[in-house]
Amino acid sequence: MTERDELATSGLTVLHPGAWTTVQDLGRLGLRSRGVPPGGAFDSQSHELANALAGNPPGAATLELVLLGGKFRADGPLAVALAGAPMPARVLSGSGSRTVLPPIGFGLLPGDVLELGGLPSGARTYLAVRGGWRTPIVSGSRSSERPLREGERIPALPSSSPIRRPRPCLLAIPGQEGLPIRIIEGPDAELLVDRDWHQNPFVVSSESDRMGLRLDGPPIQVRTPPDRPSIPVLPGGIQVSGGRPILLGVAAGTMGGYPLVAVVASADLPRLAQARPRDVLRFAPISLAEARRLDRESRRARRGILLRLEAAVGGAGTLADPERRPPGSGPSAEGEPSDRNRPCRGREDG
Amino acid sequence: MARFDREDEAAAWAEAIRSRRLPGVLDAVACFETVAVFADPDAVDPGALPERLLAIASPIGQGPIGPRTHRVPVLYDGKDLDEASRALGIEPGDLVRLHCEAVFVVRAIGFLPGFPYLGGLPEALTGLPRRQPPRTRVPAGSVAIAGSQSCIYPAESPGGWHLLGRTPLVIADLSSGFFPMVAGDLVRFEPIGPDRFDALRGLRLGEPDRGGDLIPLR
Repeated sequence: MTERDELATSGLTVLHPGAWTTVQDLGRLGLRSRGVPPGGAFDSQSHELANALAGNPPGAATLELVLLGGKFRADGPLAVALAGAPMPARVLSGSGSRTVLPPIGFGLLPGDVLELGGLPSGARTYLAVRGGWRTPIVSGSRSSERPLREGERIPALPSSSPIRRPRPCLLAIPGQEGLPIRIIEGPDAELLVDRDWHQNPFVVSSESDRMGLRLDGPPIQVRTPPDRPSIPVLPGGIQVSGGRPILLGVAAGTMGGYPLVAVVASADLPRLAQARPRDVLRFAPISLAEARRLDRESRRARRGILLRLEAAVGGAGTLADPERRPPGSGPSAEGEPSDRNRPCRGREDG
Repeated sequence: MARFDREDEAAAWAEAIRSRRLPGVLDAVACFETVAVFADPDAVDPGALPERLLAIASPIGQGPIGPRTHRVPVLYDGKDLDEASRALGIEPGDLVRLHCEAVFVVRAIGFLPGFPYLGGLPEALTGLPRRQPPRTRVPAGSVAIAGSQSCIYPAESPGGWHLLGRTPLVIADLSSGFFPMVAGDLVRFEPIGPDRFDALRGLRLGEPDRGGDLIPLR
């Protein structure tokens, strides 16, 4: 069978599309001057992680699941992986059901149904498949803003893998929950009447999506000159409109007229992607030099994780593998991190 | 991000940066008088970039070619032609003539992929506020005016500008990566009739039509 034939029959069928499920990769680069937003996975770090767990390079397409995952049927054997916010997940098969806990790589057999529930915290979880979801490439990317619909099929080549859950130490990124979002001054910072606006906490409003997060909080006063021409904007940009901050997402337009008063440090963009309605966000201003240092560090840490995972997925044994668990280790949900307290050798701090 | 005194300087600088294809530089986006340069920090040190970029002169008026000119045929049958003419206090025919005599410059591309903001609207056609509320559906190819600018809708979308007519040509297409316009380019509109509209329908801007003519014509 040719690859095309296989793709025509293999993949996932959407039984329930979830709240806002889209196909994402690392987005479209180099078309901003043509007005094309980059798009791509909002939390690129979790997207990369899901891909690594499925044995993929970072650019393979995943499904971005927002708040409520949905229900999907495997139309072939598929090696899949979940990473990101801790979405409850079950695999329903002829022989019963099993629970999977992200981050995890696991296998689906033809006819298995993957049921993904509502997120207790965080906003985005990524579902990768070995070889990536093979939807059409548009201008160099599979990233799409169109949410999946019931009955639709998402093509993927058949693949299989044992259940693999990485040891937590393989994924160690310094805990950042609750820390403020680091921001640098934006090109329109001088239009702020209140330069200390960021000392107030803000609440993520329900009018939030991949275009941007609207925040509620004390009104921010800006001087907006009339007829001010628009300027280029970017994901992580913070605009002020009607006294409210808007944190621009990956699908935001390439230009905007509202004052761009601050920009989120790129190292903190994945955390922004995990902010959900009613979450409280705090901000901490840092210098451009510090933002660049954080960016270097976070990219190094991410690379390290991917290399360790690649080694683990590629060469068997490093990942905790329930199928290799010695007898007598007790009943356990598949993928439960039974080795959480085991010391990790070779841990890096970068 | 860099700001310029003149929009044409901004556009020319962005074009100069893009054309150098510097390693790690992903894009240079000119938007009115501001340019943002996007770089891949894995491929180039962002701290070292501004100095290198600022050493690139804005080649305004230099170079052998100068800005590209796009000729865009338009069937002036827009829904707002009469109303806009009344609001401007001129005859619809004069509105069309003035719109076709003008040489527009692409000041920015945005709002939608490939959506050009065109400066150079003749004084007599300026001052119309955007429609309130905006239309929920403006057809692809619509040519419109508002304030001191004109525009072309590359795809069907919501929009509040006043519709003068439609071009039969595809001016941008995400699915094939077709984006012929960039900030700094020039645009001229040419009036056509319904037959010519049908003959050109679906062709791409700059593509030869079935009669062998080139669009741009002449």
